Amino acid sequence: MRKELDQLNKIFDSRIRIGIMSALIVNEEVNFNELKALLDATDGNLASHLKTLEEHEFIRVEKGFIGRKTNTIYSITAEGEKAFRSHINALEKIIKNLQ
Amino acid sequence: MNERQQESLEVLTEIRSIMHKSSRFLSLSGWSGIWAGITALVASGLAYSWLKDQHAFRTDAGADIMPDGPLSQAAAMWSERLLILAVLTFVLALLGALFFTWRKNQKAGAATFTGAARKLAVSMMIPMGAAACFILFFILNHHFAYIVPASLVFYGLTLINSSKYTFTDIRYLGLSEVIIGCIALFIPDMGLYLWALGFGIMHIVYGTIMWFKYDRKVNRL
Repeated sequence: MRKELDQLNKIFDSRIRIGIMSALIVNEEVNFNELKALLDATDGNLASHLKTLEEHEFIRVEKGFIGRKTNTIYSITAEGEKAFRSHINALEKIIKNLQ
Repeated sequence: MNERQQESLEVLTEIRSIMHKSSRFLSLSGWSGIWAGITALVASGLAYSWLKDQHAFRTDAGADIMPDGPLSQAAAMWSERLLILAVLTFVLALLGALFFTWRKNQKAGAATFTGAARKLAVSMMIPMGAAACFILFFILNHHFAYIVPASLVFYGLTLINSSKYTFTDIRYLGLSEVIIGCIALFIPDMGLYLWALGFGIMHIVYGTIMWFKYDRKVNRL
């Protein structure tokens, strides 16, 4: 039990961060507004969580433009994918072990 | 189940739901299907009334016009009218489908043009573009008997291909279109009826099922 809990990544404690990673793992890239609609988050809240994930190099950020509007696109890094998958595995273990 | 497990289970459920929602376009409205079905039925009714009492499409032997054979003047005029009708039906059905989907999204406060919507559109446009090429070729070369089977089969395959990016149920509509299209290949005399069945009735049935399964819930919430 201890071991599994240790494998849970602290960075993925937040629901918004979990949501961001879930969307990025199944889509090559997702832009800011799509994430916002998907996760029902405010601009500031979402931006700060994205910043954290970016600082840990779990996601890549590309700033672009559509016309005059900024369009920021996010995608997952290999490291981010690895970390998120082992987080999911740890969650699964917690459920299985205690049944 | 303890608190820790309960929490892990909730998180996993949420991960699944976000993966699903973010990769599929789930806001197609059931009304889109019903609308497409109605336009197809009206169009086939019109075509039926045009073709019923005139023999433009029959040769002396009573068979359909032979491939590559010259068209009579009357047949040329009618096939032009039918082509215009077909294009109009397609445009009307598509616009209606887009409108009802947009309206459903307005009600739910969701965005219509997401990444999943783009993927869905591309996955539909490729086989539909190929279908348009085939049908154009059949028209230019007077292979009229192949138009109905080709349009049904290509449309069915389009839906099966697109089921990755929207409701998986659309796969079954696709399968039934493919089957009806293959049957139509063998009974060309029933072409118009099978076209009305595939594009008319099946769309209405599918749209109604989808509405009860997904839209009704959204409206209630």
